[in-house]
Amino acid sequence: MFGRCYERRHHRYCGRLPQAVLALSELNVKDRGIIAYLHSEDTGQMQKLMSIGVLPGLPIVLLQRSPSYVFAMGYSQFAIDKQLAGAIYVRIAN
Amino acid sequence: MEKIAIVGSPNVGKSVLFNALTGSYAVVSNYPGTTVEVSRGKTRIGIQEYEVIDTPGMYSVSSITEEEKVARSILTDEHPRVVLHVIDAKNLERMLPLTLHLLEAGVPVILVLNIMDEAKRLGMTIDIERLEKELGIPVAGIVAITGAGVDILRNKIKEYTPGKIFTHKPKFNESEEFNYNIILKRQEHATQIAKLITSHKESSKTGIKEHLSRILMNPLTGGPILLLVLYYGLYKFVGNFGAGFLVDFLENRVFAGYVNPFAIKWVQYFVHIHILQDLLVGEYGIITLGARYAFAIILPIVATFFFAFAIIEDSGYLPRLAMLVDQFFKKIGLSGRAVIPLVLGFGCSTMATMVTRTLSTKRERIIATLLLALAIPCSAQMGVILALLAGNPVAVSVWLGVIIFVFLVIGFLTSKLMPGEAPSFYMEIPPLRFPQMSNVLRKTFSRIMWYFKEIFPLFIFASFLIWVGEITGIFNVFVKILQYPVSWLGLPDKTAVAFLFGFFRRDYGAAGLYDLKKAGILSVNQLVVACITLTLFLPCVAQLLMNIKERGIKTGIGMSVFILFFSFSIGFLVNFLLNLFNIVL
Repeated sequence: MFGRCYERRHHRYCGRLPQAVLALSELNVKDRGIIAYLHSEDTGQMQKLMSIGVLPGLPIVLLQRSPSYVFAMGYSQFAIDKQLAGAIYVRIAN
Repeated sequence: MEKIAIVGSPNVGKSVLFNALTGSYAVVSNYPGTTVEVSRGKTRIGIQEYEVIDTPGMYSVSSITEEEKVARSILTDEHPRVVLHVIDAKNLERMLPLTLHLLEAGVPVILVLNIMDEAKRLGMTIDIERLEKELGIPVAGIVAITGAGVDILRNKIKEYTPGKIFTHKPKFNESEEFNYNIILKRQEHATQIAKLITSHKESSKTGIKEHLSRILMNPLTGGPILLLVLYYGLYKFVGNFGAGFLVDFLENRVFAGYVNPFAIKWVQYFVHIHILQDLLVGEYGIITLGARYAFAIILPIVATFFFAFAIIEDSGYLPRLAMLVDQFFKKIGLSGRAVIPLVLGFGCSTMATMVTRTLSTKRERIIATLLLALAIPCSAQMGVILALLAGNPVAVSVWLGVIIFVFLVIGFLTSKLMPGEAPSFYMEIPPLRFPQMSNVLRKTFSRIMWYFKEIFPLFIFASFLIWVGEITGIFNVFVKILQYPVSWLGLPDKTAVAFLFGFFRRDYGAAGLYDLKKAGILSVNQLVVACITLTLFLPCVAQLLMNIKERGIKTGIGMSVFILFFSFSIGFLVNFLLNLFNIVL
């Protein structure tokens, strides 16, 4: 009834996974999606992300989780720490 | 003279375009009131001569970093006739919002799509004429590194007339800058334009460079590669070749064989006053000591280091190293970004202290400055120290172990004790590139020139001070005073002279020890204790001044006093432990 189930870090999702919005820090390597929104208690962190062009609506792929988070947007790659990765929320594509 | 300003994010080739436009001649100077360097040069287009300004990298007009503030004030205060916004063609969609922002502010922009060849290789085509129509401004596609398309760009500069102005909301407005909605609108607009003018042939194959990049960024493979880079780049090339072979050649052959005997003969022939003879060619003479240390010992070491560093820098390895060490660096209160000044510190800590500006919080800058001053030996010093301890791996390990221990403990303690926000790490990982020899050589050369301009006068001055000190007897008084702390370390009185030199330059001090070793005065235990103390010891005069300039007089002096006491305490402790356990190295 629920279709396939997906395992993701500490979560189990069944059914309509494409709608799932997760923080970049929760994604698996090679997961891709569209940035849904940025959220952080610390507005400075949001400024930093926006200034390098991390903005809602843009496609993003997680390439590496450790020792730092590495993601690609278009043909650029960025490395960020866990705190910043926790501020980027991604709508995962199938 | 009318001005052309070059702006854009880091890593898009602004400086390469600057060189292509101006030839290589540039005047690099600090932007008034700041410590950010801006290059200026001249170019002739048609009959008109322009001043070209290469601005520091900026991701946005919103001025988070000092570099961005400078780039912004060049735009607002210097009224350039044309602003060349350089972007990486393959990242058009992400970089176009800054173009739109500049246009909204009424800046006279020509858009320059650089690295067109890479975009093409990735299967991307860009309709430049269409882009010109959409934006209402001239657009030029170039490959700055080969010069392709630069003539077309020159033409467009010649024919430039201001184009249309976009408004998502009027003008630069400080309070509106981080308005989420405006930034989003701009990005939407950019995405829309990018869709219209680009087409991709999807090429899914991951290139060799991408594989190599992953290998470098994987801790399991990246760690060993880092050790290889350090071993071959630092130890083999700088240590063995620079500090070993080249120093030996220049010092023993060139100086001892030709320069010194010639200078001594010449001076004795023309100068008949004994004191002046001493000043020029005496034991601590300007030529026999000052120039010899500067050219025969320091120059080859620093030159080989800067050469190796430029290759590592241009290949794009450093950001990958930064992401590898970030988690570990957080424990000592730094972000991964700090790895760049710290590695540069192995070349010249003074220059590295200046580079701590790229760190984003004051707390990080202070911690990095302290670690550079205390526990990172510069290449000159390290070269001499490795030469001193050569052939005794146990002695080298004891020295290395103590220095690493101090680095970690002091880093950890300062990060615990110092208030301020925790550092955050974000950095672009540029594609790996094969370093261009011409660029590497230019960088190496300009850094060596900087180094010499900064330190050569100090060498001469140090020789002069020692001469004055000797004549007046002050030198002897200082040496006498220093003999007390030196004897607490279990070292012979003569080392006090090396320590006094250490005040002028750390490497001067190390080179002083070198002379003592050659005379066979020091045991291995004593050498190790002396090397440890001297590594940790007060920074050279140049670095002391730089610390004060960058961190302010209170912090700068405070740090130096701490380091003075700390280095002798550690030296004392090591000697005490060696004696206590009866260890003979």
